[in-house]
Amino acid sequence: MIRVENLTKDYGSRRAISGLNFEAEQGEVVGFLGPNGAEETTTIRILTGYMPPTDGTAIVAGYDVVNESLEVRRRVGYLPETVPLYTDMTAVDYLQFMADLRHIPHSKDRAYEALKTVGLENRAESYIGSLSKGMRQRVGLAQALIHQPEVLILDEPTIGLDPAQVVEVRNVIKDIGKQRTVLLSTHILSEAQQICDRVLIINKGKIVAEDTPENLQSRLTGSERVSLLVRGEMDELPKVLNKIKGVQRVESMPNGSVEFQFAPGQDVRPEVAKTVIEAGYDLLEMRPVGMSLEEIFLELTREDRPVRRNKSRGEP
Amino acid sequence: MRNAWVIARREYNHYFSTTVSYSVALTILFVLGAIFFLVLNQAIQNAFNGGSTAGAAVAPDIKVIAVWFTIMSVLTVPALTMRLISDENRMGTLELLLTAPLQDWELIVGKWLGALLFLLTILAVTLVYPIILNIYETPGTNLQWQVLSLIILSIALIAMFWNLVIGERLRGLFILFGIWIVAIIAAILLYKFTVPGIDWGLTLSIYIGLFLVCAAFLAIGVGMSSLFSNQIAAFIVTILAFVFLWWILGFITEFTQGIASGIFGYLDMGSHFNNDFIAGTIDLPDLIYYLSLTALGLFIGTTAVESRRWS
Ligand SMILES: Nc1ncnc2c1ncn2[C@@H]1O[C@H](COP(=O)(O)OP(=O)(O)OP(=O)(O)O)[C@@H](O)[C@H]1O
Ligand SMILES: [Mg+2]
Repeated sequence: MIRVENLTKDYGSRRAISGLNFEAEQGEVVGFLGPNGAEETTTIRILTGYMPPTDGTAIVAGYDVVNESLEVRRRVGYLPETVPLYTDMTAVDYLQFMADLRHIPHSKDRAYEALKTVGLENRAESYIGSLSKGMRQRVGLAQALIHQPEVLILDEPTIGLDPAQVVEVRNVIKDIGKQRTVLLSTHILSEAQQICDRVLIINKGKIVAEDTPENLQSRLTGSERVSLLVRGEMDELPKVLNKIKGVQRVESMPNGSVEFQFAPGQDVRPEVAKTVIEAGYDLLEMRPVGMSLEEIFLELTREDRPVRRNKSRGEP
Repeated sequence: MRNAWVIARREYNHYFSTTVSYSVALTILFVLGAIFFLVLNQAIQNAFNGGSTAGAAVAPDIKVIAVWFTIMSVLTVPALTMRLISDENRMGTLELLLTAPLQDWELIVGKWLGALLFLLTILAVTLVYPIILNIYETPGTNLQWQVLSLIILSIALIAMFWNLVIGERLRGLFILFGIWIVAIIAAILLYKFTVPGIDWGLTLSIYIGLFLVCAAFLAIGVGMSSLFSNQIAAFIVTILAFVFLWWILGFITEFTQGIASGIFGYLDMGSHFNNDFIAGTIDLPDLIYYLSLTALGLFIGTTAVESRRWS
């Protein structure tokens, strides 16, 4: 469980984070999304007890990160962005060292188990310095998992992994997220869409949107968009469509299709189909298009966009 | 405290994988070996002349070795401590340690303890010198004891090096210490009850002094290493601090009078060792001095790490 209230952090005189509020419950995977420098890492470092906030409170796994830092650190597994490792140690020695710091009994066995979870059991005795970047990333992940933490915080966990490993690691994370709390930051939007129950979009130390990936899509556009593909006199088609009541924002797309949208609750699709066929077109395809998370992200973090806070809870 | 031990163990092992620490160990042992050769040579000369000149032959002792050990420590300990915290900072692993469930002081004490164990390993090797001197001191008498002590000496060294080679480094150190302690107790008993060899009480006092000096130097080194993000900066400042504490304060003491001289004299790190421990006297002020210097170094280190969080 993570509960952040009014979190504020100043770096010298610069306000990095201002009044951040969010929550993550047990059994939930929450994705932290933002452009470079949006202060995701800063927030994560506060939540993991690396540095204290200037103001506000953060409760992680039931303990305050400032006053009960040690209790928080016992219960949190953390993979820092830089994936810090001791390159002069073997993978298993390193994990055993980290396990010993957490007073885990049979630390060596646990180290092997953790390596197995991330698919590295055959490189256990290799020096970390001789491992590839992706393998190091996985050793770092094993370190975060070794004590089966209540709360798992991962700063860009799948960077540098090959596609097969990305799938593996995402499954590991999803699995853990069923019973525990996972907070991960990522720039890969499809990843957020795929494994996160909820996405927080953060920009300049503020949350600009917070919802499930699906809700974000429909809420942001505020209407449903449809792509239409027909055969016939294409130049005339927009005119035909514009005559139909409820059809808005007709656009010809470069691939030859036409997109339009309508307000939720006023489904114009039967009317469109009828009209198009009556006008002599062959109807080839009509399908809904969601705004991709990429577009949402760009839209929300655009420089000229007024910052708006969205909260999913308690809102229609 | 358990966490400090986990850190210390890793640190001790780490010293066996860096060239810097091997160079330090070899330099110290080479210089001490050369000095020992000269001391022994001198003692033999004296012994030959002893019969003809009026006074008795000067009994050799390990004072010179001890003094050179402190000089070598001033020059080389900064190389052992410079990377302790600053390197963690450079590699980003400090973030790992500061988000692990260990207190900041446990991290600092662990680093210090790891370095102390390594320096003590070097110091342990120098224990061969008093044992050899003891054999030299009582030629011909109690031959069986001489042979026995030589055998113990060899077993201890072989055991240590074997364990170092197979990677059981701490075990090697402990075997060495265990055998030394038995050997020293045996030697003291021998000295008391049978034949006069070298003065083992004095030897013990000198080694206690060296232990305290090492502890204090390393604590200051750890403190400096956590103040600086760059290990070269840490090295330079540490060595300057050592030179100041060990030599310059002594000069200042000589050129001042009255209360000032007393204060500088007490602060002079070298005087406590060179005047007291090496003469076989262990006074409470000396103990307090070295222990508080150690505590100060560890305190600086802990505070520096804590303040990094707030930056
Ligand atoms: N210790 C520090 N002191 C001062 N400024 C800092 C410090 N750490 C980070 N910053 C600044 O805070 C800003 C945000 O850093 P942060 O690492 O949180 O970004 P991020 O959102 O994680 O970016 P990315 O997506 O690239 O990882 C950056 O401009 C960085 O320079
Ligand atoms: Mg980041």
